[in-house]
Amino acid sequence: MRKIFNEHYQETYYEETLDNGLHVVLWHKPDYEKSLFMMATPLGAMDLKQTDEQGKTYEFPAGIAHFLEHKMFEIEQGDVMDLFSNVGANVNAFTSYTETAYYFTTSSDAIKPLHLLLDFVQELHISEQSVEKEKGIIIQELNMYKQMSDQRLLMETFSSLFQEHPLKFDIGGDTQSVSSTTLQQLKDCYNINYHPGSMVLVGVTSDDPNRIMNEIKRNQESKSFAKIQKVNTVSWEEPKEVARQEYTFYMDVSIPKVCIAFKLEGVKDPYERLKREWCMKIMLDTHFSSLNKDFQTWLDNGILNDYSGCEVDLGSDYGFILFFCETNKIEEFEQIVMHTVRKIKNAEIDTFVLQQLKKRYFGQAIRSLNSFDDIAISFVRNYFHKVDYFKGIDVLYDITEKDIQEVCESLCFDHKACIYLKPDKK
Amino acid sequence: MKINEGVHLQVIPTNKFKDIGVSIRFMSDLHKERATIRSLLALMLCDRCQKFDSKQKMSTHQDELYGATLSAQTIGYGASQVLDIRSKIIHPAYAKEDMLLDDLFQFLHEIIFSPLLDEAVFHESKKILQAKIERLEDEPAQYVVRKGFQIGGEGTPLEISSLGDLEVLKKVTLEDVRNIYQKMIEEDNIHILVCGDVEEEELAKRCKQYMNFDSRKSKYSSSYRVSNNRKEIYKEEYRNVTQSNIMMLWFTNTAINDDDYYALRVANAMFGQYPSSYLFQEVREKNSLCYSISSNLITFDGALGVTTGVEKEQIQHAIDLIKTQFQRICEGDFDDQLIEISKTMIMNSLLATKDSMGSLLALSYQNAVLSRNQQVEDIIKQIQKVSREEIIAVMKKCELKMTFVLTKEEEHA
Repeated sequence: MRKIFNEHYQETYYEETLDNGLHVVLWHKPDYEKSLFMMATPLGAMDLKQTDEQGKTYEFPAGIAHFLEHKMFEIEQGDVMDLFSNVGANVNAFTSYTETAYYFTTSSDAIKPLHLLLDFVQELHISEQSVEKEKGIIIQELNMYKQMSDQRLLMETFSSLFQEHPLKFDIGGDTQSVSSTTLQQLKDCYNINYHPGSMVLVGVTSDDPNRIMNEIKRNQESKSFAKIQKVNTVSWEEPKEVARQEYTFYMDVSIPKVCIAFKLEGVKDPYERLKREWCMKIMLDTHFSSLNKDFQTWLDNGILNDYSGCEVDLGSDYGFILFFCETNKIEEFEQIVMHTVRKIKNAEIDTFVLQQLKKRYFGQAIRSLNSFDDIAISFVRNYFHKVDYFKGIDVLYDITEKDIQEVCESLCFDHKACIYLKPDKK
Repeated sequence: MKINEGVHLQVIPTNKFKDIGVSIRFMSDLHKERATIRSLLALMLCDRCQKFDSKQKMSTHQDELYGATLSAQTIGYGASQVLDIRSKIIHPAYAKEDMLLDDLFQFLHEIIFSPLLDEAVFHESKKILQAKIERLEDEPAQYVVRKGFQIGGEGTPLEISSLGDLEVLKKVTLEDVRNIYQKMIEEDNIHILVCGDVEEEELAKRCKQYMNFDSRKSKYSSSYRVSNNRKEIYKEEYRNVTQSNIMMLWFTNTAINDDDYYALRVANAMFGQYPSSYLFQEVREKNSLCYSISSNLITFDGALGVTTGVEKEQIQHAIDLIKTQFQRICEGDFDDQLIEISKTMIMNSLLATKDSMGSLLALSYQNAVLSRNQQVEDIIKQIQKVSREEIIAVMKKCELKMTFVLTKEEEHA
């Protein structure tokens, strides 16, 4: 077990890769009552077509990772949630485009729920009948998100940006893909993606790391796993062009919502990706927030209200910047977005503002270390991307004006998609 | 600790967090017109102030304090409304700047004592509050809750939204806001809560310097047992929705400071708070009718609400099932294991409040409002004592007041 202490942030964690390949991280948080343990696999909603070592290809319906997440909770004795409740723990899970994670929190002793977590994630127990029954629940979940206007706007934005990339699908798939999912597909998907060798377990707890690590080893040594298979997600050819340049849909809202998105190139190297994301975030915060004095005019003129913002997201094979707001002045909003984009492209940045923003982000980074969820989720993501936790945070501090200039000048804003959510005609 | 008559400082010393949080709470009665004006005032207060008279200056100053956060909102506490101004800074040790806490108090002093209540800020905030209210009403899941309280709680504080009312907002003038501000500074009950690695003595000094409020005599009551003479109501509304949302509201006839309140907490946990509850097990797991379903106590009003989303065809089935589960608890149709599991879950949540600054602030404030000093361990003891008979008795006291459904209109051929 290796101990990592970070002086700058005053945080300590321990890590070890077990004999079966499971990577275990124990983040030490003295004085806390609760513990959080999260076990994750790098299987996300993007992994729809995969091949194994024998060259066998698997094609899965959209939403399979999420469907599997639901079904993992089923165990021989019924629902594993009951067992967690019995030992005073809350269990939950989430699926993103790039990973599936199972976690519990408890303020009692963590050992019993920890064994439960390891056991239920490492065994799939489903039947034809239970798979059918789950479809109703999942479809209600999809319907719930579908009627949240913000969620819908984001989903439609992804569908507008991508032609082939699985980001075009909702994480949970749709009614049709969920209905078509079979028992066999779920089993296949599980078998090739839930090997301990590809997974990580992160615990955030005040408990003694040696005690916890020994329990995890004891649990793992009692089980045997097949040799790990190298599984690849088949990549797709995504054109530079967006799928839909303009798209309008209607919902029962009072004010229209707009999203303007630009499709960017992905970046393979994870540290380079982080650096580029920070450079763009700095530019967005400089030009599309209250730090820009025009921002007040945009509010006063009713082009923006408090519901507005922008985001940048880069992956290894995708990327985008998006601007959204709630407004009746759609054309004016498009103008300020294009204006902002030009400023970013010209890399207009002030040394003083750069230092100021670094101070702000440092405060945010410090504060995020209060949150057990943030620590666990960031650790899982960094681990899968082969990024060191603290080095990942520190990428920001080395960024110079020159970096920003290089990144911004290389950006291409030619591929734009506009998505409009308009009030229902009653 | 008393700073002045009606002005209190409460310090929660702990060094487990990486930051220090300050929450300044102004309590007044919850009144329909004033609630909206105070909600608007909250927005105006944290937007700009006389010293930092633009958003740009505000942001820049907050960044100088290492991204100090600032927010203000109104919260209903039963029959009263609290305007809460909150701010957090990182622990000075990380910033290597000793005066950071002092800087924060200076900043809050500017926000509270020298606000910029002018036409420009007024108009902008008014538009923003209007959008916030409309947005809330646009979301079906939140809309049904609001309507349930409004219709079921008619004639009681429960019907008043702490965020504000569109009709009232239309008529509000800048003069109204200025008057309400003056009243707040002079008359409201004030609690200054500070959580983090701090010392009470030092804070008392800062409060004297920066939070020098005059003494005040006013006293507001918060906790009450909601009641009215209306009979049980069922109401449907129609909208183009993908899912039908249901809200059911019970009056519990139990207040937070009643002896049987703890039994109610256990009863609610068994009924619908956790995955182990009857609602989750029966409506979701056994019948696959919904994805999310839960029951919540509206503690300071003495009410209990259940919300869920189902297919249109299943509305009646779901309502019947929910009523049946309620009945089962009233009739004692549950085993001891469910009681024990529910108690354990509550105790776990209670212990976890010690790990969250927001929860620590809330508990400390609740103690102040109810004039008591209950620690997490005291509440746990009360929960452990709850018996089967008490659970049944407290649940039987509840009366179903309202079922509100938002669904799609019948399609006409």
